[in-house]
Amino acid sequence: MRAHVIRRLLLVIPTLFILSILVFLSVRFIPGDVIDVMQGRLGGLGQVDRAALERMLGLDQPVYVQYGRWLGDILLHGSLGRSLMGDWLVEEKILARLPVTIELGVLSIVIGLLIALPVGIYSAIRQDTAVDYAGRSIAILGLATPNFWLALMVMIYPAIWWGWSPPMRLITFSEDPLGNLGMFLIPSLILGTYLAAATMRMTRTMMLEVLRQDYIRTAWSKGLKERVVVVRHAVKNVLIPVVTLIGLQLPILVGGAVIIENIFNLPGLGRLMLVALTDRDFPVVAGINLVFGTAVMGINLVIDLVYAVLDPRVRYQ
Amino acid sequence: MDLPRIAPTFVCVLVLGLAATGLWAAAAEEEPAAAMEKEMVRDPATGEMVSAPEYGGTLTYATGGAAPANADTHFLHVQAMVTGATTEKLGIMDWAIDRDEFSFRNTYIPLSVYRPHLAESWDTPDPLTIIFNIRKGVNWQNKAPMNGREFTADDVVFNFHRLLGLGEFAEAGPSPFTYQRPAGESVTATDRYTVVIKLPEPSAVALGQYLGIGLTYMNAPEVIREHGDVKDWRNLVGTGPYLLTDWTDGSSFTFQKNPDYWKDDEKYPGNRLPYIDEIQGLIVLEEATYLAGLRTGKIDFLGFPVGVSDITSVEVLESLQKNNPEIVLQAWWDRSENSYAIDASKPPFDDVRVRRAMQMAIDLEGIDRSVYQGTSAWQPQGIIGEGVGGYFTPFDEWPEEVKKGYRYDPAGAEALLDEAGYPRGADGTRFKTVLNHLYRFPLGYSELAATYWAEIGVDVKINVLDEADPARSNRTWEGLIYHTMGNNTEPLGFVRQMVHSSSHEDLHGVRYPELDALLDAAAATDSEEERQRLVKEVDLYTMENHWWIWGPKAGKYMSHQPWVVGFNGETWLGFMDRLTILARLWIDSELKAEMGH
Repeated sequence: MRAHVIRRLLLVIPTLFILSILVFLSVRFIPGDVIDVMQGRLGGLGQVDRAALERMLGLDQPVYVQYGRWLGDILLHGSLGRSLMGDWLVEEKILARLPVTIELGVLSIVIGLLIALPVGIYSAIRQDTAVDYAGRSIAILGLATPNFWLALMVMIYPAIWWGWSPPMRLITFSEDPLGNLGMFLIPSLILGTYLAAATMRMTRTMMLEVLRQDYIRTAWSKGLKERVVVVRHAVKNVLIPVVTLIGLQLPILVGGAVIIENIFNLPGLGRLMLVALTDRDFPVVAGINLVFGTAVMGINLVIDLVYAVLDPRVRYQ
Repeated sequence: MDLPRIAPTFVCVLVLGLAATGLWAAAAEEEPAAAMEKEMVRDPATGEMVSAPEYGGTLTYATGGAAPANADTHFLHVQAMVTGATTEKLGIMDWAIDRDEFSFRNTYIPLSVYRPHLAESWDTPDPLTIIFNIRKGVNWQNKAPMNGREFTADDVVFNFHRLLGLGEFAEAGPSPFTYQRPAGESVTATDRYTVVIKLPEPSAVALGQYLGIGLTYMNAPEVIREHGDVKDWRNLVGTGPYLLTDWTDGSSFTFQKNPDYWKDDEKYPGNRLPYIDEIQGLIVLEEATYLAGLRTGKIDFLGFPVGVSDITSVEVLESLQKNNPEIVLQAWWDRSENSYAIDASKPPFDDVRVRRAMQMAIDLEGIDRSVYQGTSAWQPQGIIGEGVGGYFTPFDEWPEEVKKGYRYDPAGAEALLDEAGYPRGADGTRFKTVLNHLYRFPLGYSELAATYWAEIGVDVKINVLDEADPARSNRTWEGLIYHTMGNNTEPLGFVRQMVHSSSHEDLHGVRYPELDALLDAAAATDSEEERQRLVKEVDLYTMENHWWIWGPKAGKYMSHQPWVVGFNGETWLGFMDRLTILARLWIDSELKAEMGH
């Protein structure tokens, strides 16, 4: 097990190196740079001194020199560089925004699981009943409904019909725990129901498969109660692919966060990414992508390790 | 039923009911009496009666765009979206001026409406000298390291040296933001309250630039000497009406009233500014979100920065008028965001007949009726918009021959294209071209225009450009490109930028020395009247030559709650001075409470 973990951690190093090149270069393939953005914001009203700004921002250097400096800053100083637009440290800004995105992500996953697991399991053990059809239909609806559309509807219509809208200003947990929860509840529900749809379908399918296994038949023949058969013998085996799916859903969660944070005015990493992309703020976009990429790799590693806990048959050699 | 037993209960209920009705009726009678007691005053700028100014309360506004990158206007004017309530300039526009004389519903700042602010007065003894007499008794905010010390001429010299790269900033160089950056050879303080600026050459615009552009906010010298700049908002200290007390990254700003502010309301002398205790700015990027906030009273004021969060969609406007009639909408017509520049350096647009035909193919009035429900300013304008008094030439005053080229006449357009040597081909197409649309503006109008051009046999493909797309600045685009027209902004600078050979904004690919001469003469003259005449001449020249295709100027609507009093749709009180307007508004707390907020 330890050897497996070390091997996986060592593999992370070249992966991160390749990721760093990709995130650094990909954003530079988008036409334009931060100076074009400044120019564009003037709406044809004026100009900025491009040469002076390029010198000031280090954009006058070849891309490989810029990459070398960026990587050097990461390795030698642990810094992701400075924002081209605002001149602040990228890692400081990421750390400041991270709690919002983590809270949104964790709540969404929790809500997704709270919906998906019971509905998926119940749908499987009551296969082809009205409840099963309803659960599957709702799951399809959840998958088919874009979360940005749902978020916009939640924002627009309650304001018109009932004079209600979600909070506009960030309420931190330390400031008001209940207010904070209230602020995150609806965006998490929207993201969570989207995640729940796929997880519910996976849970149902796996549950149906597990329920047909010999050991379940044996459990039934021993006269065990349905609750015991399902909870003690079936669910644990169903969870392995579901946990894998949660790992795979992380990038979807990140993509969803970009949109949901923007609509619900949550100052998280997703929103920072959107603004940085619009501003062509290369170090910020690269820094956020690197953090997201590292997080996805790290969480998938953890999920791999969780397999062994969930299924004792899994052994890492 | 035991009547004697229930009778007392019935009587009690009846008496209580009558008493309640009486109390309710009395309360209802008192309400109009209270309303009648409400003190009203006449707004000297509009002549309208408004609820009397009152102190206190909180105002929440939303910005429709991303937050500024930092708190230092030295690097970009948009920082003033946040810092403009804290730092001030030497001049400010006349808030008390009659709105019929100057409406403020544009972004044009004529020198004639500037009034002294941090400068008490100014003088231009010769074309190369500007003298500012600094106001005595103005103190910096009571915040370290300034701690309320007096604002003096040395502070002005320090800030202008930083702006121009003079004195101790010679090595650092001037502000990298060149738009409107004034020219200056030297800036010196001759005494504690006098600043003398020497210009390298006579300039018609330099005084206005020193008085109130986006880069001339007075920052605290001690802060810049200690930290190098004022990028960190925590270090921001000014002389203004509000202290910036919080900037939650990506979420909000908070301003608290400066209790020691030095100035009275220009409309109501004796009333020390500001009225509102706390101002909160929310950074809301999504239109649906800030509109929801407006509908539900969470947002009091919408319209930052100028033009960005205004309501422009006719559908949204109608929905607001229907569902939230209480919301006050202030219309203005800033500029046409449906106009296009033409690359006149290459065929087919190197022929004025083709350019003219493209304009004649567009039914401006029809589009106004069908798309804008009659709310747009559809009559053609030149480079200069209707809000720039003295420089603007209304369509009715254009020569008849020029007017013809802007009237909807598809048959005439087809005849011009035939004459220019672009007959319809076998598939009905005369030629193909590209329209470079800018993504942040609605695509609908460009698509509509393309269908009008298809009617005369011109096949237009739409190419959407990102804001940062260098195709525009590098001039690698071809055909047509989005460009604003009818601008209500500083006229001479804008026209120079559009057509002068020295300008980087080489949209048409064609330069005319005769226009350069006219514009140089306009820049050199001391006579405002002569400058207006010369600029009008250039404007007319461009209209005749059809370097742009005019499209209707859609209305923009600033919006606010009815309890926000004192606002008449003003855009700013100097370049980027939007927050200074909020410092002059007040909250009608009684009305707000009555409306359940």
